[in-house]
Parts: sequence; structure tokens; C-alpha cells
Amino acid sequence: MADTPETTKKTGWYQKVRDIDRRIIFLFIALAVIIPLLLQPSFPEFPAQLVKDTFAEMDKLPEGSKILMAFDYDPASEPELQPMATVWTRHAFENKLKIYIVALWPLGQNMAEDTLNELLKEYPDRKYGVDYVNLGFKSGGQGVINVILTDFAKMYPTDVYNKPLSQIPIMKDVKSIKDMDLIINISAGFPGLKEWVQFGADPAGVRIIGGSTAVQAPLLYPYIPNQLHGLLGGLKAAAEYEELADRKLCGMKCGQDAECIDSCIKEYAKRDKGKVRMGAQAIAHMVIMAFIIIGNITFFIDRRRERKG
Amino acid sequence: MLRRTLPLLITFAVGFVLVISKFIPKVETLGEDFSIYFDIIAVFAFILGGGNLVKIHGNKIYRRSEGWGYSLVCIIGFFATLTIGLFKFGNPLGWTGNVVAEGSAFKGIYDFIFKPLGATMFALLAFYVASASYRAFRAKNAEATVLLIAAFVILLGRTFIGKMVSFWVPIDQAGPDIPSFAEWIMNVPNLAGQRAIMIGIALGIVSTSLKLILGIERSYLGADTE
Amino acid sequence: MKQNVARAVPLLALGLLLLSFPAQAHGLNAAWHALVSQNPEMKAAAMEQTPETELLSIFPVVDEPEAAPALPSPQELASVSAAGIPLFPVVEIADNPGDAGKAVLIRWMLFETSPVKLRGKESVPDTGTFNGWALTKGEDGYKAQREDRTQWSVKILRAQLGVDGLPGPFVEIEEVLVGGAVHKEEIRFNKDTKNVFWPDRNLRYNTPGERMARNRFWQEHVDADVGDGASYAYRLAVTDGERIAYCYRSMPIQTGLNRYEYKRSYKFGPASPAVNLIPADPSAMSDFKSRLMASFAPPTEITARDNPSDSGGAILIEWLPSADDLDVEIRSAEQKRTHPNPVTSYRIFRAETRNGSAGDYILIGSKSAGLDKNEREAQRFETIKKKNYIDDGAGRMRRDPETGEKYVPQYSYLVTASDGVLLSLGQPSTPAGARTQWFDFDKLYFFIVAFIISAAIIWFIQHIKAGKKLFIRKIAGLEAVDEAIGRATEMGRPILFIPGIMDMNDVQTVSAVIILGRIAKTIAEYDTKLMVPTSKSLVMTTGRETVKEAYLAAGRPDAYNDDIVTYLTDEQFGYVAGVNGIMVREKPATCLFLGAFFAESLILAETGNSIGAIQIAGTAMPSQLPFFIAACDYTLIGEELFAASAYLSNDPHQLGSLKGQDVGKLIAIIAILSGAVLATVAQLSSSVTMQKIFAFFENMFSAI
Repeated sequence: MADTPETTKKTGWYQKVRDIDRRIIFLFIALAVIIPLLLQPSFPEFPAQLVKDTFAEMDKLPEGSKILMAFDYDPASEPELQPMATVWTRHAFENKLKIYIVALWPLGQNMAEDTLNELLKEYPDRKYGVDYVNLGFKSGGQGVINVILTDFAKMYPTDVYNKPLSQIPIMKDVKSIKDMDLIINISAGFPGLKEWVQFGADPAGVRIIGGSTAVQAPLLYPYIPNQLHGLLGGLKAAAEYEELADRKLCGMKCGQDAECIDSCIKEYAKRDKGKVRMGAQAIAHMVIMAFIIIGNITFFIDRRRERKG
Repeated sequence: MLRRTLPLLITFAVGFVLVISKFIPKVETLGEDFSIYFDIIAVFAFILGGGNLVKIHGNKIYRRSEGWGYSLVCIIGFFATLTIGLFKFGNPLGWTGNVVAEGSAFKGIYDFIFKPLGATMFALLAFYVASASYRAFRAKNAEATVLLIAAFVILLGRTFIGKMVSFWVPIDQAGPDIPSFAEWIMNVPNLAGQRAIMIGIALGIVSTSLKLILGIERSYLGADTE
Repeated sequence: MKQNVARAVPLLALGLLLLSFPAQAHGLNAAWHALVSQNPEMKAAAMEQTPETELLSIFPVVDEPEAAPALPSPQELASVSAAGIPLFPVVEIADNPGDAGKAVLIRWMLFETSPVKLRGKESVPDTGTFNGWALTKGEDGYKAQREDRTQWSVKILRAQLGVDGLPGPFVEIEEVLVGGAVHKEEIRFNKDTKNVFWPDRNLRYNTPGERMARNRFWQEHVDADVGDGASYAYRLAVTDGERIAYCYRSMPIQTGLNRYEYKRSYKFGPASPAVNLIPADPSAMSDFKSRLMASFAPPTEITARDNPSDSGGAILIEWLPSADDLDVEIRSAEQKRTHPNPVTSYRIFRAETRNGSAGDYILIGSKSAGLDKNEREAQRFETIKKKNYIDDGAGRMRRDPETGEKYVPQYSYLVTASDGVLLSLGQPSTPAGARTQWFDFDKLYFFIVAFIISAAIIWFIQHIKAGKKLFIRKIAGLEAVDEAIGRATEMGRPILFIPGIMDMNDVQTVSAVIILGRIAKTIAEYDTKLMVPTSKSLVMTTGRETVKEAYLAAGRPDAYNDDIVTYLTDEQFGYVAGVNGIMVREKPATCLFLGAFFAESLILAETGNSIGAIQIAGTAMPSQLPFFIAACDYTLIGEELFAASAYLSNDPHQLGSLKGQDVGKLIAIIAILSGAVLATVAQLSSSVTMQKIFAFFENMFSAI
């Protein structure tokens, strides 16, 4: 039942705290999120082993390897999943991997375009059709995966610009997802990572890593490590991956110079959306914990009063 | 009679084919085909849904019912988006271009209206999680206390604060710190519970599907009393 | 009449205007080109803006290309970029397919030097040139037009790789004319990102005359002057007779089908003429063997049989690895470095056999040397380990065009061990054909378990005696439904029912609609207002039928109207926004959230909480259950949602299905406990028997 405080007389600070209007909570949360996003404080990230394994899976691919990136999310989950998409695309461009983009969600295609537009400003010499290709969205969920398991051309006769696959150089020696070296899926729900593991990567014998919302991640743990070879579960994992990527880039730039590496990482942190948003998440978590503590204190005080009275 | 018998027959036939397509290689593709047939039928149903939407809001506007202004916004948005998408206004390649091509009006609607609205609705979750947590995480009994402690560990462990308050493990080393404990909670007890629920769900799906295929459960067709 | 004239005049004017566009464009184009070519200043400006590109390297004309030139320095590139050649080749060099290793195929596509260097350059003038293109700034971005009358040609140069892996002197082997006709192109850029969005950045220059590539945009040349097993490097150069530009990088090489043989350190991309065909003719075979036979041991015991448990079209080939294949046993990186494996791959060839005689063996696939992870895992307990390959291109049953008889094509397979160039031939397998199996025996155990559970459910449904009381534990959420409906009736406020956001092909939605039917009957009897906003049109249609029948069954057809079940939108958060609006405006006393939900679950539940409604939720989405449990008064967890329709109907036959599900749970519990015990014992003991039993148990359902 609702616990609206309409009828309670607020006669003192204890009553006010006990029967706090939810709008006050909303206000605190808003401030806890907005202020860090504006000030962009940088907090350290300590990558977990799963994130390190995911990074290694991507980083070990030699130049020219083919990766299939499936963008299965929409703008609603952009805050949590876009950092993963961006960092993986950047990693692929940096290591000169060849990217083949598909989408099982209608708006996934747009998310892919937005990601590419952003990254192509950093890597302007990456050429469409030679270094990456966008095959776009097809409806059918796992049905699409079943078809491209054996033949891309049956499901995607053209790319997203209506150009036949036979005219795209990057598609020359690619017939199906079995020709890929790695599959990367960023998913917000259904169809998503589970379907790619079950119907795509496992039957094709291709390694797969993925990113999902933090809420979905536990459902994917059973597939690790045999069928799913890496997972970024939520914004924190994305921030940790960005940390690993920045360390690598700065290591290449600065060699052994620790000060140079630190300042380089701080510089890169400003463009890393995951890290920027993690600041807000950390503060918001603290605010939530504070309210939980307040709620429990008032609860115990009330219970003691009831027992006494 | 036919109104109920025919749907039951179709349900039985399609359900049976979908089940055996898993085991008999010769009809493996039939299962996928039937899934595609459903998508095609669902597309035709869009017309019904759209028509219903226009009818309801149109009535509200016509009768000047309370809140009819919002219905007007809804109708205008519906037809504007439909027209702009259908006729691809502003599309650099005209009718042959991709509907969400760069520079098209439809892309503009997506970028400046749809995306921000979707993100806004999703962002409400942050506020609601806070208010729900404030209300739900009370140590009323032993189980609730365990839930509360687990929630704290997860909240701490999902941020850098968890690592920093774990003073018993050096900050640059791996060890039994709060983030690890948070991972353990997610990977072990939480996952065990989820798997148990999923087993129950799977059995429930089997049971419901069997009842539907065999026509034992017929209430979705209407009253089940003859 | 006047009205008709008034209407016709603007149309006529519009038509004339439209017709004049091509003429205007052509005139403008010609004028612009003349202006650019004749104006030295503009031409120089065009040269300066030539973008640097990795693929383009411009040298002054030389009589003979130097051997293995070093990469040009950035200063060199900048100084010679004044040559201003706008084209570069993307080259692909591969073994020529379908021959016995005697030729290399060189393919190329000529690309425009990418104008994407405009990105980030805010100083692009409103009009001007860029790399020979006339630019105009329009509403939607930049347009660039160019006319090209140059006679371009492509020179192909070849160098043989020495034993040290470095190429020797490059020698020109061929010159191919391309282009030559007037070539117009128009490309457009997005004004913000400066990306080219139409048509694309590739220009296609065709060869004149009848010499056409397989694909009109790729041009090719077969260099048949090789074939001695050596490796070669190729360079292409684009020239107009005065200026010349060489490519330095080609696309990854495809030597046969094994891409891991490509040494990526070579920018030139060496190519070896690989064997794709082993001739059946004895004299050709003898010549073949003299050129390409390796000294290491061949694979043995090559067998081919129909691939089991499939729908036909696949044949399983197995063989014993070469005795000289060092990677059959697991070796460390150090061992691999000090003792490299002479065998790098196995190449599988197939010949169709008819009436006892086989045709030429065509290459169909390859596998890397040693055992891969799956092969090693599957043969963990075998002393002799085999390699396998599935040929999924085998033909299915067909009809002989001459005799009209049906037959299944038979194939013989030849597996060769290879070091990338030379081959060691095994003995061909006996012929085998692909057949369709009627049952997938890989899923046999899955079928058995599914059959047992289904049979139990059906048995209990049929054999529960009417009147027999089954013990079904109380489900608080379902017990509270009547109370919730009563509360809404007393308060005079409506009941809101949300059947989830998935479509009718989801079992949760079907269950929700079934529950809706049962509840609607009670609601009709109580004469309470019901609202069912749906997210899918099919759900709306089905829901309407269900609710209508329920009202009819309750004897209240007059109370029904179609607006009880409405459609909002398919879009997830648009739907949530709509439902939230309904909640806040209509203030239902009871909210029922039953079905499949995703991220919107908490938004719905919290909004319901804020209006003071009693909330009963039920979903089979494990990730959303915590939100419902935290925010709702009652929650149906997972299978309780599916049990709800049986529970509410109180029909003993339906309740019997719940008992049948318990059999399934019993099987699951036994399987989990057995698996845990077996895994523990297999891990702790060194008994091979226990490990085999556990491996069998583990793989029982691996084919699902």
C-alpha cells in the first residue's frame, strides 16, 4: 500500500525525516547525478578480472582481423551501453580491425551510425567499405542469426546504403559469421547476447564477447567462460574497460614514464563516457545508501517506541 | 463451432510442427518459417492498432473531453511522423534513400525528439530506484536484514568506493574486497536463485504450452463454457 | 477556363524549371572545369589540398622501379603530392582458384583519393576545388563534381621473395588500360560530419573494350608465369603517362583458404600460387607430384561418411594426422619456436565419383595442424586422436538428366598435409554420400526428458478425479485478486490491467490474457470499470475478444465496449509514458501487472505506488522480479504466473497440470544433485571411469 504522508502532522524534524516526501529524494538524486556530470571529477577504476579477460580477448586479435559488431540496443539504454559501444569501436579502429556492423533492434542501426560518426572524427582515415561496413537492421531476431550463420547475402543482399555486398571490398572473403574472428554484441534485452551465444557464436565456433545492462548480466554468467568469452555488465564494467584501453594507449604513447601515463589517462578520461558517468553513479549510490540508513533509523526508532508504548 | 474449432486446429498444427521441428531435421526450417509468418501477421495488425489510436484520440478531440489538447498532440505527432517517414521529406536521396539517412527530417525527429524522450523515460528509473530502495530496504526481520546487507555490499561494490573502503586488501591488489564480495553475491546466491526461478518458469511454459496446443486451455478464445 | 489557365501556368513554369536543371548543371560543370584547368592559381590550390593517404605514394616518373624501396618519408609524400593523382588502387592478390597451383590472381579496384579529409576542416570554401573536384556548398552539405577525360592505366609489377622473405627487384609484367572515357561523378558530403553520404567514396573505372572483370568494379589479371612453388610480391601503379603513383599496401592475402598462413608483416602481401585442384588424370598427377610433393608424412586412414543427425547435405571426413605433425601433442610456445611444425595445415579436396571413377579433386576447405580445442576435448579419453572436417557443400539427392534416375551424389575425399606450399597426399577415401536423417539423435536425451515431463503433465490432467482435493499451496497474489477487485468497486475507481509489453507469441502474454479473461468475468459481475492499455495490436485484438466473451459469460454484454482494451504504442517507453499518464489521471484503485516486462517495470510499479493503488504483479522475467517485489504489494514469481489461470479456474483438470510440473522439478533436482556429486567425484578421484561417466553426463544435452 502507498505510504503517502498526507494525513500525518509534520510536527518536527523527526516526523519530516520519517515521512519524507519522495520528491525530496528525487531532488537529492538529481543533484547527485547532475553535479558530477557537470564537474566531471575523475575517479580511479580498478578493472575486474572478467573485464581484463574481455579486453585481452579483443586485444589479442592481429591487424586485419574481422569482427562482427551487433548493436542491439536503443536510445533508452544509451547511457549504460553507449560507452561500451564507443570503447569497442575505438579499440577496433586503433588495432586496425575490420568491423562488420549488424543490428537486430530497429534503432540499433542508428546507434551504430552515431557511434561511427563519433569515432570517425578521431580516426578519419578509416574508410567505409574497406575498414568497416554497416549492414544495418533486419527484423526476425534469432531468425536473422540463423540465416547469417551460413550466408550473409541471403539476409543482407545490400548494405545500409543499398550497395550490393559484392561491390564492397571488405565483404570479399566473408560468406558468413563463421568467417569472423570475433563477435561483439551490445544488448539491452531481447533479442540480444543470449541469442547471439546460442544461435550464432556457439554453432559457428566463433568467439564472442558482449556488453549488457547490469540487470541482465547475472543471466549471462552461466555462459562464461565456455560459450561467452567476455562480458561487460553495466556501466562500471564499461568504465573499467575504458581504463584498460586508456592505460594501453598511454603506455604506447609515454613508454615507462609514470607521470606522463597518469596525465595522459586523465586527459583521455574526459572523453570516456563510462568514466564520466561512473562519477555520477558513485555519488548517487552514496545518496541512496544514506536514505536507506535514514529509513532504517526511523524504522528502528518507531519500533522501539511501539514496544515501549 | 468453426469459430472455436478452427483456431484450436491451427494452434495444434502449428504447435506440433514447432515442437517436432526441433527433433526432425527434415522439418527444421519449418519452425523458422512459422516464426516469420507470425511477424507478417503482426504487421497487418498494426493497422488495427493505429486505427484504434486515431479513433480514441479523435473522439476525445471531437468531444473536447478533458485533456483533449494532449490527444491533439498525439494525433499530430502520429500523422506527422508517418507522413515524414513515408514520403522521406528532406532525404538527400529522395525516395530511394534510407529512411534514417543523414540530413533527413525523419532522422531529425529521431535525434531531437525520440532519443531525448526515450532517454528521459529511462532516466526516471534512477529516481524510482532511490524511492523504492528507501521504502523497501528496512530490516524488519532476519531475511530483510540479509537483503539490506547484500544491497549495501552491491551498492558499494559497484563503484570505486568499494575498493577504497576495503582497507584489508591493498588497493592495487586483487583479494577478498567488497567488489569481489559483490561479484560473489551476484554470481553465487543471486544466480542460484535466478536459475531455480528459471527452471520453474521453463516448466510452467511447458505446461501452459501443452495445455494450449492440446486445447485444454481455451479461454483465450473466449468463454470456456459451452 | 480562367481557373484552368491559372492552374496550368505554375505547372508549366515548374516543368520548364525542372527541365533546365540538367542543362544548367552541365553548363556549370563544363565552365568550372575549364576555369580550374586554365587557372594556374586555382590548379595550385587544388594540388595543395591533396590529402595524404596511407595507400597513396607518389614518386616522380622513373624508368625502372627501384628494388624494395623504403617507405617514403612524410616530407617526400608532401613534396610529391603536387603530382596530384586522384586515384589509388586497393589491391587484392590471391592464389588463382581452380588450378593446380600455376597462377596468381591480381584484382584491384581504383578508388578516388578519399575526400573525407574534409572532416574537421572548417575552412573549406563555399565554392572552390578539392583535389580536382569542384565544390559547392548546398543546404544539406557539400557537393563535388568532376569530369575526368584522362587515359589512366595500371601497371603491375612483380618481385620474387627470397629465402629471407624480402622481395627482389620489381619487374613490370603487365600494363592494363583503364578509364579513358569521359567520367563524371558527383558526391555529396554531410555538412556537419563531413562524411560522404552519397553515393559513396568509391569510384569505378572500367577497362575499355570487352575486357570485363567478373564484377564490373573489380578488374583483374591472372599472372600465369609463376608456379614453381615460390612466393611473390606485387605492386600496382596508376599512371596517366606523365605521373605515376604506386600502391604500398594490398588487402590481406588469401592463399588457398587458410588465412592464418598470411604473414601480416608484409606490406606487399606475398602470394603463393596455392593448389586448389589435384588432377585425376594420371599424367597430370605425375607432373603435379613432381612439382609439389612434400617430404613429410601424409595423413592416413582417411574416411568419409554421412554426417549423422542432420537434414542431409553434409559429409563427415576423419583422418589420422600426419606422423610429422608436431602439434598433435600440446607444446609450449618455446617448443614451437625452437622446433617449428613442418605441417601447418591440412587441405581437404573432394571429387565426385560416378560409376567408380573420380573426377579432379577440388579444394573445399582446410584445417590448421594439430588438434583444436573441440577435437581434443571430444577425444579426451581416446589413445588415438583423429582430426575431422564437415563438408556441408555435399549435394543432396538429384535426378540424372540423361536417365532420369534419382541418385545421391557420391564423393571421394583426399586430405593432404601442407606447409603452405607443398603437399603430402594421403590415400583417397572410399566414396560417401549425404543423407537425411529422420531423427536428430544428438537430441535424444533432451527428447526423452521432454517426453517424460510432457507425459506426466498430460497424465495428471487426464487422471485427476473430479472432486479429489489437490493440495495447492496458497499464492498470496492470487488470493488477493478478489479483494483487490472489491476494493476498486467500493472506492468507485477503475482497475488497470497491463498484459506486459511482448506480443502474443510470448507465453507470458498468453497467460496474462487468459488471466484477464478470468478476472474480467468477476469485474463484469461487480460492474467495475476496467482499463487494459496494450502495447501490441495483436494483444489488443485478442484481449478484446477475451474480455467481450467474459462480459458475455457474466451476463453483462451491455457493459462491454471496445474502449476497455486499447492500443497505445509498440515503443517501450512511449507505452510506459502513456500508462503512467492513465494512472495519474484515472487513479485506478487496483493495478495488475501480469506478463513480460523489461526496464519499465519499476516505473510502472512506483507510479502505481504513488497514487495509492493496490498492486499485484507477475512476470517470468527474472531480472524484473526484484523491482516488482520491492514496489508491489503482491508478486507472482515466475511459474506462479503460469499457474494462475489453473488456480483461478479451480478446475481439477487444470490443477492436475501443476502436479505434472512437480515431476519436472523432481527430475531437475535429481539431475542437479547427481551432476554435482559426479563432478565432485570426477574432480577428486583419478578414476578414468568416473571421468568418462561425468563427461557423458555433461554432454547429454550439449546438442540443444
